[in-house]
Amino acid sequence: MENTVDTLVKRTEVPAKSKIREYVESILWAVVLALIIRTCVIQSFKIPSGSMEDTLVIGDCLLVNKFIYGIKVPFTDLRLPSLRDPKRGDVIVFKYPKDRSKDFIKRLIGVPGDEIQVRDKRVYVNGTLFQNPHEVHKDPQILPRESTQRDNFGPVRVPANAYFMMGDNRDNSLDSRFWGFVSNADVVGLAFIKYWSWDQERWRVRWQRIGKLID
Amino acid sequence: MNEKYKPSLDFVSKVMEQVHAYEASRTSFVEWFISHPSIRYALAGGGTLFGIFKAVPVF
Repeated sequence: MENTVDTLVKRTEVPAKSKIREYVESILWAVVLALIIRTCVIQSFKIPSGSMEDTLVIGDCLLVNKFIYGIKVPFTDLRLPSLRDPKRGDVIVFKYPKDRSKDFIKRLIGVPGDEIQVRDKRVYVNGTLFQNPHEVHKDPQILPRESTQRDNFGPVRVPANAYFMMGDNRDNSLDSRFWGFVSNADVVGLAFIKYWSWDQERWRVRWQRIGKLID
Repeated sequence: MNEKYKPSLDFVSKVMEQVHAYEASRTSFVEWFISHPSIRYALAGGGTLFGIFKAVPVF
C-alpha cells in the first residue's frame, strides 16, 4: 500500500527542471515574436526633436508600418514585394544617410523623377507649387541663398530609387535640403498613428493627440 | 478543575504534528505563481508587448 502511494506521489510530482524549461521557452517565444513583429510588422518610435511640428511634437510616440513598402530582409538591401510605393505627403521613417545608426522622420516631398525647388520658403514640385497643409514656418524672415539653403534651394531632380524629404517645421528641420536624397534601401516604414504623447514641460499627458492618425 | 479538560501527556507533540502537517501542505506564493500556466502566458505576452512598444528615438 505504502509503495503504491509513493509511486502515485512520484508520478504527480512536477520536476523543477520542466518548470524552468517552460519559462525559458516562454521567454524565447516572447523575444522571437517581438523581434519578428518589430522587424516585419510594426515598430514604435518616440519624437525627441521639433522638426516635424506641429504634426509630431516632442514626446509623441508613434507606430510605423514596416510592411507597406515591402518588408526589408535583415542585413541586406533586399525587400519583399510592397503593398504600394511611397508617395508624396507620406510621413516616413528612414535611416539618416549621414549616420545610418540614427532614424529620421520627415515628409516625402519628391519621388524619383521629380524636380524640386524651394523659392522664398515655397516648395515647387515639377514647377507647380506643392501645398502641404501641415507645413509651418516659425521664422518670418527669408534668408538669402548665399547664407543657407533653408529658404531657397535647387532646382534638383530626384534620382531613381531615391526620395526628397522635408520636415513640416520648415524653418527648423535638417532635411534633404541639407544632406541630399534618401535611398529606397534606407526607408524603414510609414508612420501612421500616435499612440502616446507626453508633455515633459507641463508634466502631463496630451490626451487629445493619442490615437490620432498621421496624415 | 474538570478532568475532561486535562491535557494528555502527548498534547504538545500532537498539536505540533498538526501544525507541521498544515505548514507542509501549504504552497508558497512563489510556487503557486510559477505553477500557473496562465501567469506564464501573461508574462510572456507582456514581455512581447513591451518589446514591440519599446520606442526608439526618431529625429
